Amino acid sequence: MNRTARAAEAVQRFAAARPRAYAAAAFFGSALLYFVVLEAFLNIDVLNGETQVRPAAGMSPVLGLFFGWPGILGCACANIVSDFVHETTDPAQLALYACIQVVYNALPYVIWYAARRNSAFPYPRLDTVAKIGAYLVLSVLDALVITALLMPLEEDVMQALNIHAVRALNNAIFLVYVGMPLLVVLERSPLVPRAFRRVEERAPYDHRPRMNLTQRLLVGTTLLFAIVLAVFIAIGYGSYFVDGSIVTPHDLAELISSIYVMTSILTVCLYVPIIAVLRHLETHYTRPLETLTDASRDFVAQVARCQAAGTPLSATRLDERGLKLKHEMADLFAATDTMRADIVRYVDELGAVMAERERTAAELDIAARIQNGAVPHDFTSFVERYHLDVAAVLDPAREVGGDFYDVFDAGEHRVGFVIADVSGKGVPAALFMMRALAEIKEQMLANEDVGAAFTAANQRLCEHNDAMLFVTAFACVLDVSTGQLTYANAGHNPPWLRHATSHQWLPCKPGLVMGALDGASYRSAALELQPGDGLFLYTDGVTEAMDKDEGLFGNDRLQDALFEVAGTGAASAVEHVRARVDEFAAGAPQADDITMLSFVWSLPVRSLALPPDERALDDLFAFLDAACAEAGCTKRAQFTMRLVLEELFVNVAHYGFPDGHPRRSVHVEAAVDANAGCVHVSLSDEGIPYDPLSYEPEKVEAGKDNKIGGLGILLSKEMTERMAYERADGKNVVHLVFKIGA
Amino acid sequence: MDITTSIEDGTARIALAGSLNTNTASELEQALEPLFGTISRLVFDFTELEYISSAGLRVLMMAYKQVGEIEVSGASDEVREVFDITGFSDLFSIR
Repeated sequence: MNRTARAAEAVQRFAAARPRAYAAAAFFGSALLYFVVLEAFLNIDVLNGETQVRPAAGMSPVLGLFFGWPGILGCACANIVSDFVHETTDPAQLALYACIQVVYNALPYVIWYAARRNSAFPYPRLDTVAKIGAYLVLSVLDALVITALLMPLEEDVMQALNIHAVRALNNAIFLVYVGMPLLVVLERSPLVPRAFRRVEERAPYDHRPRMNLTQRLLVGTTLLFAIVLAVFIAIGYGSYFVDGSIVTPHDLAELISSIYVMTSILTVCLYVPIIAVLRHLETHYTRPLETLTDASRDFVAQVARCQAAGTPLSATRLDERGLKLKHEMADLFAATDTMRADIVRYVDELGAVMAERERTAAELDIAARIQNGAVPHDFTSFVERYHLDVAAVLDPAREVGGDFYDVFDAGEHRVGFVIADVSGKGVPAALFMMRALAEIKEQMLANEDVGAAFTAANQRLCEHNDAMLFVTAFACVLDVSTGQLTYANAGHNPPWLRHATSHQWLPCKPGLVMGALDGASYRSAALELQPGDGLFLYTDGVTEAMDKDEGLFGNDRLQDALFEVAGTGAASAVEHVRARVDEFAAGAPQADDITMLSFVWSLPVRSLALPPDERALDDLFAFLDAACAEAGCTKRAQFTMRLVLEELFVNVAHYGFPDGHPRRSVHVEAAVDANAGCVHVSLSDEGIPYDPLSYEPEKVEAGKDNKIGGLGILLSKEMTERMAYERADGKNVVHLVFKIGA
Repeated sequence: MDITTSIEDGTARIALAGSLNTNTASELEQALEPLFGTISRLVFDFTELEYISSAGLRVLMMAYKQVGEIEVSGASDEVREVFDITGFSDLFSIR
């Protein structure tokens, strides 16, 4: 918004808020302007003998047309003052002149708004030939009316005919050459025109930031004509002023009359063709262009609105009523119509494409849920039954992917693990993935040997595999009671074998990918896990995750990440590697599916909660006896376990909870490590901190005053294979190891 | 736990069967208490004793202090080991 437009807005607000102040300003402004111009020319004596050259006569009807009654009356008042000074002091005559002046000033205003009271933009903006024509007609009419009204005031009407003609021409010519530019200037200024109240209410004025072609040509040609006329008068009549042929005021009056007549003829000669040209331009160019501009301004928004409302825009042709289209403009309109029709069609098609895309997205969303639901997420039953710590993540690069993992029961004390990666991505990979997932699991349940299961699954996957998709897979079966692990690999990344403090590649043959070669056979390998050992399985989406520079995450970073979480559970390994991958990618888009599966095997654990009360001793014994029976402990081993646990438990029951200390349950856990031939037992209590190992007990001796305390701890220390104490989470935990065959 | 007691010439013969632990030690204590002062020698038959913990040792130590001479027979390897570790083997005469 430029400065004029802002000023126009301010003036408009002012005029609306304080109409009387604005009217007063218009009144005095008009009066002053009119008076100054009037007096300036009245004071040039030579022009004011028998005739008067009055450019001010071209201003007052325009000020009236623009400002309404304040302008009309302002100019009339200024005229009274002037008449009073120069003509007469007779009040009756002054009043008569004033009335005539008011009629002269008001006539264009009244007729203009009476005629245009219902038009869309009723204000005197000369932007069409019709309005220019109306203005010119009103000018001539006004000049004739005022002349007619003044006629009766001359003594001899016929004799004064000449002066009447001059007066009419004076008024008409100045209304063209002074009034019309003044009207354009006023309209272009920030000032606000005033119309009948009803008109103003119906169609509020708005300031247009630019002149249109008609206005520009009008201003230009009027200026040009003024110059042409000035040159013409100077050349044609200049010599009369200098050669002394003008002697009497009458001579001058004659001359000026002649100039007026010639000017009028020339004006008509000039304006008729220019009006014709303007009319042609307006009909064939300006108006069509304006129509085109208005129609184009929000066409696409309109199409989109109709589209959204479900009523596609059918009328794409421009409204050509009132326009005479020829030549280039006809072509332009035809081309525009085609373009508009095309736009409507494209928007239609786009809508259909968008709807299709939404439908596909919705389907993919469901597919993703189905795929995600096809792999297990809840591993609590493995934790509860086998103390097997399992965690996994499946994160497709797109909605659906070709990676999968699976964890399932594969017989008594046997848990199967699978991780696989189908070649390709997206829907094709996902479809093959669902097949591979089902085949591999089915064959692993049917075959005890993983290698045989892979051989069978491969056979099945090779059938009906026209798309030549293949899958890399690693699977293993863990005997949770012994830690025995059998596994097979079909072209998959070798997993990491995690120990408590270190990790290494699981030694395995690469094997051939599944689904590629009919009749390929796979062999299984075996390994014995130690308690606390586990596997970390992953797909190449992890090692081949890319950063912004397309660098790969790689095996070294994976190894480092695993090292950072050595000895921790499965979930922390998976989460940590995922975090490291995300950190590495740093917002670069995920190129491939990322899948990880990890488990940590611990010994099967029995647990028991006891009140810290020695009466619970029998329960403790029963618990230990069951563990011993499962492990196949010798009599001595059973005796030892009973003895040590009794000593420690009774100690806790007696001394662990001094008065006021909440007596919470004591927990005993026992796990049999058949491989190592030992039983792990831990005892934890929430009593006051006490490390039984800190006590140095002594044997009893003959001849000494033997204290009986501490023998329990002495026995515990001596009879366990290993004994360790820790204080953690507000608990005393004693770890004990007993030899099964002791 | 079963306790069988017989007294003869200032010698009490006590046979224990079962488990001598924190919960059962008091039974033995109660059985021994009336004897103190009337006997000069205690002979335990541990042939049927399956288990002993420090709570049982405490009672045996108390008896040792009261009586002064204790003889143990028939102790299993496990019970013997407990006596060895705690030094009770040196206090009692074990057969």
